[in-house]
Amino acid sequence: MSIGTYLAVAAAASLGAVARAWTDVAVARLLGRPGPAGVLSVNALGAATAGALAAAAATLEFPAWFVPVVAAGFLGTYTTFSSWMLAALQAGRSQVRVGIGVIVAGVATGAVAVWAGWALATVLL
Amino acid sequence: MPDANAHAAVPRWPSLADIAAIAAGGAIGGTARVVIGALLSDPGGWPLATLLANLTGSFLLGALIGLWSRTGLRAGRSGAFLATGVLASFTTFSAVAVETMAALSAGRTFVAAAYPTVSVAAGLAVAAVGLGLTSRVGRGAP
Repeated sequence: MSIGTYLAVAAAASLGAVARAWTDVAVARLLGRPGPAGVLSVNALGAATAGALAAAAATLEFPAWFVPVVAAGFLGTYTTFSSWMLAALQAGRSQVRVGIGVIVAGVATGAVAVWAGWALATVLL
Repeated sequence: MPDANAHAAVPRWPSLADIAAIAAGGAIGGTARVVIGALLSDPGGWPLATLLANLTGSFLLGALIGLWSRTGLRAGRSGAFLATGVLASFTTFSAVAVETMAALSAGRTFVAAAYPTVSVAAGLAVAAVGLGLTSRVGRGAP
């Protein structure tokens, strides 16, 4: 990748991180309390979009910079693995089953979301 | 994102300074992950770069949150930079989902089953180790 592409990745990653923080706060305010719903929401939304983009990239011709910048830069940063792990551990401290629930919910929503995004883009394109 | 004070009140919207800190951290963490992806190949179809970034980031985020819980400090703006910015952005969920889907559609069923399983099991383990290590450091030794 060129230096220009790396700079574009950095800019997209900035936007992704800020969008994640905003989504997390928006979900917490909507529910009236902080918790793992924010990280589960960003991960499901990001996985669906990334799935659609991956399917689109197999059919359409994007410029060379597009997938690294949008998929790895923005969506890769919008979603987060480490925060999900810590959300599960913290939820599990008080009640183990809640921590397990955070993991199961993340896996289930992520799998359904990426499949749905992928399938939708495949059908439409 | 992860909050050592999960019982706390509903979070406020991030200030402009918080947003700048998160954006700067996100640029560093996200770009570092993409650089690792460009440097590492995927042996046997295993997405090694994503796995490495996710496990390293989970350990470090666990260690950071453990440190906060031990010291009672929530590192404010530097916390937004390090946790929500750098470390949360260094790891990624969407790549795991897409790489698993790609392995499945390519008929690599073992990778499609084992990769997310290993990611989650090892991710929880290293995050717990990081959390435990810094939670205990400096506590009265017998």
